[in-house]
Amino acid sequence: MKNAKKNIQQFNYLIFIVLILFSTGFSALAQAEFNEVLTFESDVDPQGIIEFKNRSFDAEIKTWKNNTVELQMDVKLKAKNKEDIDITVDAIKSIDFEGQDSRFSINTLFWESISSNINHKLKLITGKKAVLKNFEIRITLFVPKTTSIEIDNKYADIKMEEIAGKAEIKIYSGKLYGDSFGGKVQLDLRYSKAFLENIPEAEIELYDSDLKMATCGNMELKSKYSKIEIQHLGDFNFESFDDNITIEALGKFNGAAKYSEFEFGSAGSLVFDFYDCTLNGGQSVNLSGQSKYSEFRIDGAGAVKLSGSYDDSFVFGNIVSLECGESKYSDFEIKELNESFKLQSYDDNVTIDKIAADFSQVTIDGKYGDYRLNIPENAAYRLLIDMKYGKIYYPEELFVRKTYISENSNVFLDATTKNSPEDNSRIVDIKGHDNRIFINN
Amino acid sequence: MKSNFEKYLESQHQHLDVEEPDDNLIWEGISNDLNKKRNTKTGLFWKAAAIIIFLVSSTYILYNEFYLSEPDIYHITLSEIEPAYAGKVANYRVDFENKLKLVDAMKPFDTKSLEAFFTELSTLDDMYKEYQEDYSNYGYNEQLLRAMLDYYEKRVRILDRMLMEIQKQKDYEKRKEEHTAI
Repeated sequence: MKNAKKNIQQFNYLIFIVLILFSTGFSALAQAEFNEVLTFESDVDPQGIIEFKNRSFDAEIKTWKNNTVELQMDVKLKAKNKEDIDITVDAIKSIDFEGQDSRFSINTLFWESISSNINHKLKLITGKKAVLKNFEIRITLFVPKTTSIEIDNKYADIKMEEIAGKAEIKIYSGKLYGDSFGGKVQLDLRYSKAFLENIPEAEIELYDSDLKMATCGNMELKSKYSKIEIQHLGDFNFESFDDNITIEALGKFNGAAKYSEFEFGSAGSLVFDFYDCTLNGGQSVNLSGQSKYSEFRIDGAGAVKLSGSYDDSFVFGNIVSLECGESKYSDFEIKELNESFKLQSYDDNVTIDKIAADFSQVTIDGKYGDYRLNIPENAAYRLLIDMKYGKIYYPEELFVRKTYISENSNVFLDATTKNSPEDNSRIVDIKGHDNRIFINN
Repeated sequence: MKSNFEKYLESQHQHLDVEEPDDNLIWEGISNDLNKKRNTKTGLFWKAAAIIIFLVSSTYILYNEFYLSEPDIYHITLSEIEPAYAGKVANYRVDFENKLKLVDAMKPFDTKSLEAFFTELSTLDDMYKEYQEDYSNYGYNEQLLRAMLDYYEKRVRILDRMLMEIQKQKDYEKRKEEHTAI
């Protein structure tokens, strides 16, 4: 009798537990959904500016001939309660979408803060709180083609059609697929990628980003840890740190760089302040600047003027002239020199494969240097050497010595080639300390 | 006045108390009773424990769900946000600490030339704070996590550069000594 009572009691407990489990399970499965496109529309000044602030939602910006702006938000929400959906939709409907004078502002963010775990807990811009199981929003924005645009975008990708106005674009941790722009573009990228077509003028700031562009007018660049590829560029002013920059053809090149690599086809004048950089270039007009620990490989250039060089390596194709104010531990390799070479040198290596017969002068004042010069036998010039502890190898049979003094470790030589006229101003003048000079050797 | 039945019982008393009480049996009974009482107490304990656990866990869940105040956003780390990155973060941290020790051990001559790297490290710290703010403002985001991971990678990269610079200083000093010796 007692046992039967006990069993009934246990059975009741079991039913109770099962009911609790079922109710919990069902309440967890209960779900409300929202799946609609919300549209916002307004008249705008077609020559005005549209500010577009966007976070986390991929967006497409399309242009049209209308003098209106239209924002379409394709909203997909899932929540446990319908109330959460409703208050979230209310918040989305109250996003910034308003204009004043020629400026129109859009901010797609409808929450103040969010914490995500199994669910997303949002503190909405309306002040209310909502818990969403999941949400997905895609944005399409239609703007007049003639407008200018200011974009502030984080953690989302943006695809945009050609616009005729100016653009100020900030993309952090996202991608920008852009077309062409009619006005100046200011671009600020961080951990992002941008693919652009044609820009008349650009001011660009990059941090660990990739930029690919077809054509750009003049560009101001400030960049760190980035990769840039441009097909055609106007004048290029830059401040670069640890970048990789490739330009097929460019105008003037002027800037400072550290730990960066440059590669370009043809260029106008190059002005640089390099530290531990690499530059591979095609034909350039002129080069001037200073460098440390850098490597240059340039197919050809007009005048090369270095105010200072330290532990660099220069490999030139055909150049008109080279002048270096102060050089230490650097290597200079020139395939063909047409006019002049002037070097203040310390522990450098210089090799000139071919010096034009009608060169004007080669002047080296150096210590511990190794200079190898190849001058055609038919060249008429004066050779002037003033050196201590050094060695000189030259084709003596081609020269007439005017003066030759060898005392202790000092050597003084003044000679002219046999074919040289009396008043020859073409000169190879090398002086210094402990150098090795090889002429045609 | 005694009833007839009482009188009868008295007269038959000797015949009724024929059996002696069995002490062992009595103690066994008492002992069983005591054990029974103990079992009841144990059952109560488990019930109480279950209730307490239920109350504590439900309070925790409710508190977490509805009343939890905003966490200190600047103490959120990448490893907490995404444990899958914890291993990489730990490796970068160890690498960073080791390289920092190496920088210290190499005793650079010209610390001024290294200032730019310390500024760079400080800029990175500021950027990391920005990511922490963004995590609080915009929630979980794979791109954000990658940016946070990059913070650890960049710190190591900057120390690598710093070590290279110190080596350059040493090379310079060595060359200078060599030429002085000549």
